[in-house]
Amino acid sequence: MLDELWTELEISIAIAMTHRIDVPLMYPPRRQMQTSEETRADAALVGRIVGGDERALGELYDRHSGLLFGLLLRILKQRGDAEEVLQEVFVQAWTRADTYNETLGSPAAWLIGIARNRAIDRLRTNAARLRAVEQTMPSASIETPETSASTSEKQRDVQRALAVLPPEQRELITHAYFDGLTQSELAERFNLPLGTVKTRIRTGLLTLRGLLQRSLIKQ
Amino acid sequence: MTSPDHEELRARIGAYVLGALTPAEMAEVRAHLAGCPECAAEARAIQAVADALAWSVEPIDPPAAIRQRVLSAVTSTTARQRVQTRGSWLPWLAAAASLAVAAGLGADGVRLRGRIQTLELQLRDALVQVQAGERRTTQARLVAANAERQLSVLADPDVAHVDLKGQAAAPRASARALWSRSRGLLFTASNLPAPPAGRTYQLWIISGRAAPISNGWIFKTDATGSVTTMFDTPTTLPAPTGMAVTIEPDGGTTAPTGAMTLVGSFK
Repeated sequence: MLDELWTELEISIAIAMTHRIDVPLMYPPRRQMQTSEETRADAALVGRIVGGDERALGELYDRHSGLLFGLLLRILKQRGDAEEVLQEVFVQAWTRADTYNETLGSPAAWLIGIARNRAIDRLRTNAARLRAVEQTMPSASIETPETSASTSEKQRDVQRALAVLPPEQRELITHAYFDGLTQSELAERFNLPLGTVKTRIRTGLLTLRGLLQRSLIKQ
Repeated sequence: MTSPDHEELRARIGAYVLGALTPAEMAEVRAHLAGCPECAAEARAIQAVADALAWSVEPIDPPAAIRQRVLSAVTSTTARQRVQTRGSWLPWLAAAASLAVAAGLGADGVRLRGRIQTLELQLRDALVQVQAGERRTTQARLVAANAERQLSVLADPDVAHVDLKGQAAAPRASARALWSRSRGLLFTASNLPAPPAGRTYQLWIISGRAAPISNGWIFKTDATGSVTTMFDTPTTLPAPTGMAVTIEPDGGTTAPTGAMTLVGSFK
């Protein structure tokens, strides 16, 4: 295990030294999904959390719990699971706030990363995965009786971009992102050659990139 | 098996940024990105897109109770109790970071340090897991040692036993005690109701007309009302004639005050 970590460290150093890139990758400023003002306010909250300010955690929660709960429900399908993971995400944000590095992305992206990793881990380790795959819906959002937090500009941008994508690409990308399926599992599930799955995912993401860039610059 | 070539790895980049690969496949792509600027640039370009997918979901307000649960959970974790940065690998990482800066990386050095922090955390996780493993081993040893002690009581040819019967407070309860002067007292009971809050069960050894003896022999029952436990008894203990269990204030008392729940006499 330690060997693997050392290898990873060596690879990271090699990447940084030879290609001068950062890992993981950040949003270039003009394409940020959050306005820089929101990001700055969030970063200030994270700074206070590092200092042990519980009220700052409460504020961070108020700002992002709706986004994260929506995401967790979409991934996990089960309310109980989503509620537990949401709780874990913010407890981790509290205990690990000192690991947040603003050169690597916005606090919102950091929280999303934590939430998605935990949710996919849970999907992959418990039997909920089977249920989730059975109940998988295309890209429609979940109907819920409770009040939705308001849909922001950036949500509409991403939704629009996804809607423009050819359905066969969108389908594979959303199943990979929200259901934690690997490319081989996707090939099996959709009865497609593995090469086709790879091409569709990659082409789809590159197309999305173009769409999001345009729509966000237009603002 | 030969390792996958550039074209194959490049084709996997989309799945890579979505995390849609097996751990082994992820590692192959990661290693390739380290040596291929072209693929690394593409991965960087679409990683941001993959991260943005979360925003396609409609936000949903979580139940209000979750906020409270999060805040009470963190109140018990003060900033000081958080995972601290220490351990023998730190000098190595610090050295690696300074080397990187010395190599003229400048701003990238700062990012590299961020990456190193991430790796430090992974190492810390690994250490925490090792410690958890050690804790489990220690627990297993304790359980084994306890079982050995219990067996040693049973194996003593001079073992005495007493059956205890439930009294008015717990008519369905029953218990058995096995006592060996040299090896201690093995006590097992079942169907005991949970004691009231702030109260605990305490075991007493009765020796004729003398005051009941209890060297802090208190015990808890599990969810089903059962317990099996060992107590050390002084080798100078007067010959016991009976045994009783009472309900006492938490921590136990020096003389019984509560009602008797179980009573029995040595044969």
